[in-house]
Amino acid sequence: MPLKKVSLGSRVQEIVEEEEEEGEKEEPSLLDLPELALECILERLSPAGLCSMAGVCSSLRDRCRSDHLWERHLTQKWGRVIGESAHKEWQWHIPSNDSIMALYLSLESGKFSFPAQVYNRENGHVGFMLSCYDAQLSYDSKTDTFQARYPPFARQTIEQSIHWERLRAPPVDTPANVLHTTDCLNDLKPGDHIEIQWRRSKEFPYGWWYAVVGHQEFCDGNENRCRCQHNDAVVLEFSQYTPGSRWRQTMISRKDHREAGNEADGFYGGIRKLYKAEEISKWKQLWPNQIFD
Amino acid sequence: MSSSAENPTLTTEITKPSTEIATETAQSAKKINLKTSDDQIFEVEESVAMEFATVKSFFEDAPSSTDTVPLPNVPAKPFSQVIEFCKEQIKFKANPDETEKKKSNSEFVKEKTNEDLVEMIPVANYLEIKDLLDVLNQAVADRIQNRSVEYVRSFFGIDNDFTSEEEALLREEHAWAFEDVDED
Repeated sequence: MPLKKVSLGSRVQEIVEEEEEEGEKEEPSLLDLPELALECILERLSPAGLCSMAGVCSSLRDRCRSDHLWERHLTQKWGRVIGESAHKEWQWHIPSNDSIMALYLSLESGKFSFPAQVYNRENGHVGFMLSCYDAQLSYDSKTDTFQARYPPFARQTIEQSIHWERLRAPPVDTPANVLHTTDCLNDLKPGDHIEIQWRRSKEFPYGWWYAVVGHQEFCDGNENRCRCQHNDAVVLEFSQYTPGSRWRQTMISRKDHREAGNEADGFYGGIRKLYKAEEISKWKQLWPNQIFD
Repeated sequence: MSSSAENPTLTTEITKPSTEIATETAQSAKKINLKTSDDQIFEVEESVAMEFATVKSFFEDAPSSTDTVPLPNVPAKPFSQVIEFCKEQIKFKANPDETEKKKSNSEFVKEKTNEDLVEMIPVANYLEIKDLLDVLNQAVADRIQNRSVEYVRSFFGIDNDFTSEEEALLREEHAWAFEDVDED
């Protein structure tokens, strides 16, 4: 009875036979390993390891460039900050080279600056606490931080040394200068966590601001009596500001909210309700130590 | 290969049991003969041989076989190291201890040369010893990690088939990856 045939690369078998014929066998080569084993080894290499292996010989170069080896590294390191818009921009930038390795290396080297959003823009700047703004980010592998270039309006703003935890991939594909279409107005009830677009004036881009749906002034918040969910006016609370501050609260119309505001208070745009616990807890992590006027 | 009428050879040799293992399995361990590609015959305890999925299924297909099992793709040198590994593994089967097992695995690969590792992989692959294959693949990856291109070439017997232009281009493309390379 023959031994069960096992998954041994045919190439390897040939080599083994050749060696037997020659009697003397040569130094074992990494390239003679069974397909699956070599694949397994490459899967265990870091991005730098794969790059260095790609420089060994042409057959390893071709293997080490394969998308499936890089997919995991891309997701692991960049998945949280690289979204749809970044992928689109990459394809538009480099239509000829769409390998994942090329994308990874361009991100890593900072050559490709990608669209993403930055929490608490201009770190510590009171005017941006608990907001998230669109920017073009480029990475610096030496300091493991990012540089952000905010879209120019009155002035071009560049911020340095931004850490990973202040970045996110844009959760919706609405560009910074476009009013987001709200689809959750009828669903909003006290206690809901939301993000709302806000801009200083019509020339400025929107940022996303964190707020919580509050109760009407006449409602005491008692669960059994609260009718706030059925009221047309929806109260939005920005609790990073002191009660009485003009930034503390705003009201929008449930029925026909699109963009509301004026040159003095800025303009409140589209709303997205936060359903995921991690999105809400992210805002809580960013909560400032003191409240603002 | 037909099974002959020979009786299974029983030996009185007992594997040295580790203190906690019950000894009943080791009373009279059955041995199996395995013949390597370079015609060496290894007498291996059944419990060790059953770690080789390929050999195990051979006996499942022909339970009464007592013949010497030929291993046409397995040379003696790496095979003896594979046996060494499997003997250790069996101890952990009876007495699972992940930390100790990891320690023993890393000691096993630590004392092996690059050549040993690369020779054992096809054997582990052919005999379908998944644990060993994992350990070996990881060990090879660890040895390549953070190494220069030249190191990988010389230690794993790979010829450089790039033109100097291609090589310069690769160095440029992957420049950042070579910043933290270990000394050869």
